Order: sequence, then structure tokens, then C-alpha cells
Amino acid sequence: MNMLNLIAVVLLKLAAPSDYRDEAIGDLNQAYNKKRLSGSEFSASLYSFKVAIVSSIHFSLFRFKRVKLKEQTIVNLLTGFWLIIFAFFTLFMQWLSNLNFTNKFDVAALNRIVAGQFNLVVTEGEFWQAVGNNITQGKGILCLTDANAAIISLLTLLGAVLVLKFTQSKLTALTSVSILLLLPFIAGTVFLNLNANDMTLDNVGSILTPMLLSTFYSSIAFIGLSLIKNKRTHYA
Amino acid sequence: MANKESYLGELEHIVLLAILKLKDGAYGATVRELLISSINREISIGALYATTDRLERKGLITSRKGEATAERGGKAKRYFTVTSLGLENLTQTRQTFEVLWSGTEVTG
Repeated sequence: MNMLNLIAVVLLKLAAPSDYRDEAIGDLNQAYNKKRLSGSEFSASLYSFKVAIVSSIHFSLFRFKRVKLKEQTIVNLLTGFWLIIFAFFTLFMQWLSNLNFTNKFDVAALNRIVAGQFNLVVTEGEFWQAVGNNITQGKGILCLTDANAAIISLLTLLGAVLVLKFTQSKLTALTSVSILLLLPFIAGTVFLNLNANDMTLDNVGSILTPMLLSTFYSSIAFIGLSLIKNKRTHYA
Repeated sequence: MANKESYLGELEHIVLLAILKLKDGAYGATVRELLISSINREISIGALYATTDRLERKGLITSRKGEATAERGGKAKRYFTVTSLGLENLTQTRQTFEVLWSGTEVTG
């Protein structure tokens, strides 16, 4: 077996779903050997490579369609994605609630967040080091509780329910609810940007916490309510 | 009105006919070879298994694992057989075509 044919086999092995992998590679080997006997080894390898490329595209589309058919797979993926976001959010809030104003990195990081450079903070090694330390020393899940955020979330959800009740167009309803859910976050960002010069680092936390947590609470509550509604419709 | 699932697509139709024609010797490589030699149509291995998977889900064929040979690098074959539902579907499709073709002349 030469290099080109080996690449073809590896390509097919990667692309084919597990239940057809052996048969597909067997068919490719059989076609390759037949071509090799009737022509040159090079032309057989070239043919094998061409078949593997086209088959890989077809297998990829086939796998995508299969995944699309399995609703449960989508739910599992979304749940996994949500759990990652939840874990990240918890760690971030834990770091935020354990800020040390005598630490140079903490002060610089908070200044960056207030300036809207959140991405620059979370890509720094020092941030993750601090997050790691907080896991053992922080407040744990309690850092995800805030009374102000809960009140804002309740108001946001009330607004979302009213929007859904009185809006006919699905697109308008979806857009309005999305804006409503993000409203505390948007309002907090605007407020911080407008008052960046007058604010001390000590009181930034009192804005950041409800601004992040209320969006978090509302999203969870809204997803929960939608799931319950869908289940009721499904079993009705 | 017939269900969308009961219609045969063009590729499904020719693959089903090839399996029927090959009888007990219908597996991936032979189906591909038959289509190339008889109608000069080359379909990829990926497209073939995607089609047979669909046909199997519709209950038109069944498949079983076969023997592994040295020619295939020690990999097993997957043999296909047309079910009675598959035969019924093929007959129905043929009749549909015959009805539409009868009295039709193609000029040009």
C-alpha cells in the first residue's frame, strides 16, 4: 500500500460513521486492488484517493443529517454547552467577589472589564491562576446569589411574559424578549461607560454583580419556562 | 396521497434495482461495480451507504455482515437483500413510470 492510498484509507476512516467504517474501507481496498491489477499502482492510488475524498464529503453530509434527525443529541449538546457557560460564569463571579484591591492584576483586570475589554482579561494566565485559587478559598455557589439581581430578573421576566402575550409576530416577540433579557446587562455597560471616571473600583462590583447575575437568572428562568411550556404542548 | 417516505428517489431506485439484480452477491463493492458497468454511473462509497441506510430505515432492504477477505484488507462485507416491501415499492414505481410513458413520444 503506497502513501496516497494510505491517506485515502485514513480519510475514509475518519469520515465514515462507525457502523459503516469497516465495510467502506473494505470496499475502497477492493476497488483499489481491482484497479491495480488492471492498470498501474499509481492510477489505482489516484482513483482510490478520489473516491475517498468524494465519499468523505458524502459521509460528512450523511452524519450531519443523522445528527439533525436525533433531537436528543441537540438537547444533549445544548445542555453540555450550557453547563460549560454555567461553570465559567460561576468561576468568573467567584473571582469577582473575591477581588483584592491591593493586588495589581485584580485592579488592572477590573479596569479592563469596566473599559469593555472582558476578552483580554479571560485570556490571561493570571486570571485563571486567581480563579484556581478561589475554587478552594472562595464563597462557592453563594457568589451566584444577589437580591438586587433577583428583583431585576423578576421585572424582566414579567416584561417578557407581557411581550409574548401581546405580540403577534414571532420574530418581533423573539427580538423583544432577547433585548429584554439582555437589558440589565446593556444598561449596566452603558452606565459604567458613562460614569467610568467618577467610579471607584470598590463600587463597580455593586453594578457588575446585578448586571451579570440578573441576565443569568432571567435566561435560566426563561429557558425553564419555555421547556415546561413545550412539554405541556407536546403531551397535550 | 402517498407519504413522502414511500416515494423512491432516483438514487434509491437504481441502488434498489442493482441489489435486486445482484441477488445474493449484493454488497457495497459489487453494487458500485454493477452501476458503473451497466449504466456508466459511478457513485461514491459514502453516497452508496447513505442511500442503503435510508432504504433500510424505510424497510425496503435488510443488511447483514459478511465475510472478510484479503482483497478487502481483512474488512467485512455488508450484504443487502430487498424486502417484500422493497419489491412492492419497485413494482409500484415501475407501474407509475409505465403509465406516464404510455403514449408519450420523445422527439428531438
